[in-house]
Amino acid sequence: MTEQKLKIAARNVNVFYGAKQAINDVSIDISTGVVTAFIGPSGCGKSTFLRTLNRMNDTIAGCRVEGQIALDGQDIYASGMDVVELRARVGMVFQKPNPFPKSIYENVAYGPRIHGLAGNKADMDAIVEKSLRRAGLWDEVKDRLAESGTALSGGQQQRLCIARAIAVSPEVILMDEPCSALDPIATARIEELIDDLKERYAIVIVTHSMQQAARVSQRTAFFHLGTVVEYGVTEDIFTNPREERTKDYITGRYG
Amino acid sequence: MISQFVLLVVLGLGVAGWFAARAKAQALYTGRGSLAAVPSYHGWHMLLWIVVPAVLVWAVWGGISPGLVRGAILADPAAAQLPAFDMERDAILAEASQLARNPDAAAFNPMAQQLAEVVRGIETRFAMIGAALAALTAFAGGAFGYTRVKAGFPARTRVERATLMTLLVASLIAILTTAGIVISLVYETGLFFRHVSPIDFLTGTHWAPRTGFDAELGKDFGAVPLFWGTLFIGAVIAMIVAIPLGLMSAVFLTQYASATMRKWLKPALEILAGIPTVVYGYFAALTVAPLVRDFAAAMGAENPSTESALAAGVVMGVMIIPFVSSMADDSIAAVPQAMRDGSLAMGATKSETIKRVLLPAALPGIVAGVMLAVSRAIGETMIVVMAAGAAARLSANPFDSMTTVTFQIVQLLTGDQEFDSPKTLSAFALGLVLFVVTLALNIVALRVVKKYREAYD
Amino acid sequence: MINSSWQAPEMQRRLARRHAAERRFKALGLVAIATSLLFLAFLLFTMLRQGLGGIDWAFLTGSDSTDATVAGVWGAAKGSILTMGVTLALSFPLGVLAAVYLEEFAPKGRRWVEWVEVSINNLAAVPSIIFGLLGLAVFINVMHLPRSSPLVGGMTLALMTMPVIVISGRNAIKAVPPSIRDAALAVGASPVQAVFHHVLPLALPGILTGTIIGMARALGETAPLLMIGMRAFVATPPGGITDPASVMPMQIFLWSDEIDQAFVQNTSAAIIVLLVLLMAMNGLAIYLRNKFETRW
Ligand SMILES: Nc1ncnc2c1ncn2[C@@H]1O[C@H](COP(=O)(O)OP(=O)(O)OP(=O)(O)O)[C@@H](O)[C@H]1O
Ligand SMILES: [Mg+2]
Repeated sequence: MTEQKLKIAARNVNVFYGAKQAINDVSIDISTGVVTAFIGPSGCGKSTFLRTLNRMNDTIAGCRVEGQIALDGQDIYASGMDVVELRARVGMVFQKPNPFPKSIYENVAYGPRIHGLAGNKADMDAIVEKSLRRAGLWDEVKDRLAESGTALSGGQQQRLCIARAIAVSPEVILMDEPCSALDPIATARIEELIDDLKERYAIVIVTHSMQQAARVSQRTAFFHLGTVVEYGVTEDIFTNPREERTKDYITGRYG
Repeated sequence: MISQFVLLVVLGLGVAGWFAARAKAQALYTGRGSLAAVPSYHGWHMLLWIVVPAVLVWAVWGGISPGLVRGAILADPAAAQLPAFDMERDAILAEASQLARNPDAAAFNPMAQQLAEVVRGIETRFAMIGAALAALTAFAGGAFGYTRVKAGFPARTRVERATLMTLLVASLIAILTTAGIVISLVYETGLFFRHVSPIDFLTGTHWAPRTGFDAELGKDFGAVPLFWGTLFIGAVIAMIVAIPLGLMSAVFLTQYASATMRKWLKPALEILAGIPTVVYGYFAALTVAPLVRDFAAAMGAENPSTESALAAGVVMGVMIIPFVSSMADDSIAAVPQAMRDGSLAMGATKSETIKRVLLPAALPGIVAGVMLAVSRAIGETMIVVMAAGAAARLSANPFDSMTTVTFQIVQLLTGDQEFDSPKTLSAFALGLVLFVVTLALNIVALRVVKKYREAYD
Repeated sequence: MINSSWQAPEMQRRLARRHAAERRFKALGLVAIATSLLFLAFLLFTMLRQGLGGIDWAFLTGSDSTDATVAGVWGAAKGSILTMGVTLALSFPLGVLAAVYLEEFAPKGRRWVEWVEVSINNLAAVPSIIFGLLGLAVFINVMHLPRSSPLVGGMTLALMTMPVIVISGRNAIKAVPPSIRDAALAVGASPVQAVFHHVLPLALPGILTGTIIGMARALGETAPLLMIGMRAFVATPPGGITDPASVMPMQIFLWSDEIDQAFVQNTSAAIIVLLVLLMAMNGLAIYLRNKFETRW
């Protein structure tokens, strides 16, 4: 078993879009060495909550967050918090692969470059190779690093996005339905990858697939109408849910 | 010369500062998170501190030094024999400084020749002082910037703040331009209205601008014939040409033409919009106007003039065709497909659908497009300058020569002008009228378009 | 029953009439386009017929003269180049920066931001002669910059061109998908970095297209330059941006006013040169647009 260490503690979080409340009093712990899955019907606020964890919601006009989210005990909404540093520590992978329309190399190197993580070209080459290897993409692209990232297949693009996120050595990786645009084979590769990555990182994955949640995660949070109905060990949630609503959802009675 | 040199030196210092600050920051790097900003941002921060204050100082010096130079020259014993009369003295001084810059030029005034040497000395001295000040500022800024290079210093945030300030200033230029237009037009018009009452100007029918101020001025500055000529050429004749041709072109292009046809015809039509107006003006004067005159003569008109409202209006109309066509194109495209399908499914022919369904539905958009077209036509200058004529005349005969607001503005402001004559001032009053009218047309048209778009969204 | 009523001769005649009307309407549309294009062809043909003979090396390299046979277009062309240089140097950076600010950073819904937007949209529709009045009142009468110079001409045209660049720039920036911004922000780029490293380079072809179109318009502009006195008789090409100069459209205007019939050929020849330049610019803009059309 990998070592588990509390990374993010969210307490009594409320999120509003203008006057509309999208998240209502959510408290969740996210730990290193653990994959946490968010499941729930469409529109229940999974993405919204995920984006509050690295303040990507700052880009949405009218979005407001209440409550406390602490990364290693440090409030990420405190006024002294540098969002840029936060996002370097809490990376994100999106639903649709979104590589930069630049070379594969540049895609991965961009983050380390703006954060000054490589002293010279050799350092950068090493970072790029290590990240691509971890993302399981190195062997496929090592001979064409100069080609555009957008020329890859969907599954490869998504792994490139994961490599890009890994390259800045984050502590947490947030993934919002990373496989929803991929075929089953590409999905299986990403799931393997998540399993490998969880040793070093805290991983949060939003998914609509119960099977995927059951396969890759150790903790699961079930969201419904902006609240967390149930949060616990994945096995328990799937085999022995405490709440009626959770049971209904995972057995496919609604959603 | 010295300006470029100072700028170059300051920039050079800036670049040097960039490398120095970056090197210092790099030396502070001990591992991840040890620096609040990437070293190159420290470099940029330093560069800004060197360049911006120094350039500002140099610019300010450029603003105040001419006054100081002048004072110094007048205080010089060599200037003692200059005539006391301001205009004459200024002319000699201007010539002297011209000579100081360009010693080969022949002197018109012997006194200027004598002064040139003095002027050169003084100008050089003051330029040197400015350069020294700028250099000093650059060093001071650099020294300050260099002390700021510390591990915890948020250089990126600072540089980005400066970037955002620059962006903000750039976008404020638009407001400044608008304000500049309004203020200059209103100010000069105000001066004009001190001598000619706005009522006389806006309702008088006699236009014979002249110089010299007297109480009778209002009688000769009645702009109604100009407004009439402008509307008759721009809003009547040009539109009679442009609306049917533009509209039918748009209908054909959107509804009947095959994709390949559209691919060739549309850009071909757009060439018309890309031809400079001076070319249209020349064509109108050289080719169309004689045709119109011959036609008028054949119709039995006596002594038809070469310049006619018709020639200018027709050519202007052709110029506007692509504009009307593309506006109509947009409005037709905005009509929901379902409406068209509904009509076609009933068994209506294409033309019936277009006439009964598409065009009525697109009408607000088309009307707005026509308003914008009119606003363009009445602001158009070169065609009327070259083909419409100077006669301020209230006539509905398209073969007559007529004048327009824009023509008169050009007429009043070119040629010999003294700045405060009622003639030049009246040009600004005409400009203000033109500005207000085109602005109103545009605002109303954009409102209509917006409403119309909302109706189908 | 219903079928038979459509077969009735009355209905058949009616249908035939409707189809005839349909053909007439379509023909009308074709005639409209053909008329416009014929006018264009007539104009181009007239210019070519009159001017082609006048284009030779001496014409392309000479400057204005009172003698039509030695007058050339280079002096005016150089004035145009200098003027356009000033215009581009001012309007491009200012236009792009303003577009970036308005599209990416301006606080939404603020009164003054709306004012900026309204100003830009209106400036794009203000008659060019008004910019000439502004240039005359501000650059010449208040700031005392040298009259007839490419500096003042270029500044005046820059004010006119900037709104065009801002508008096309905003559209190009808007067309860059938000996922690119998200991607950059998610690896810890600041908003300024996301824009300058990713969004702006992707929007650049669109901005360049708009800039070229705006510059082409400025290159053909005459009226505002008349206001600031750029109608100097320039027998030697201007040496710098503060020398008295003329521009190509102005040269056309001045020559068209000459009584001497010999200038007709010069005028048309200058028009041909100007049109070739403009077509080249517009061609370049179209090429850019097609080459870089949406890659995502
Ligand atoms: N930018 C926004 N502005 C206003 N409301 C929003 C915005 N984004 C999301 N919402 C609302 O917030 C609620 C939660 O949305 P969210 O995208 O978090 O759902 P989700 O659980 O991720 O759904 P899905 O599974 O479909 O991705 C929804 O009701 C949605 O309409
Ligand atoms: Mg979602």
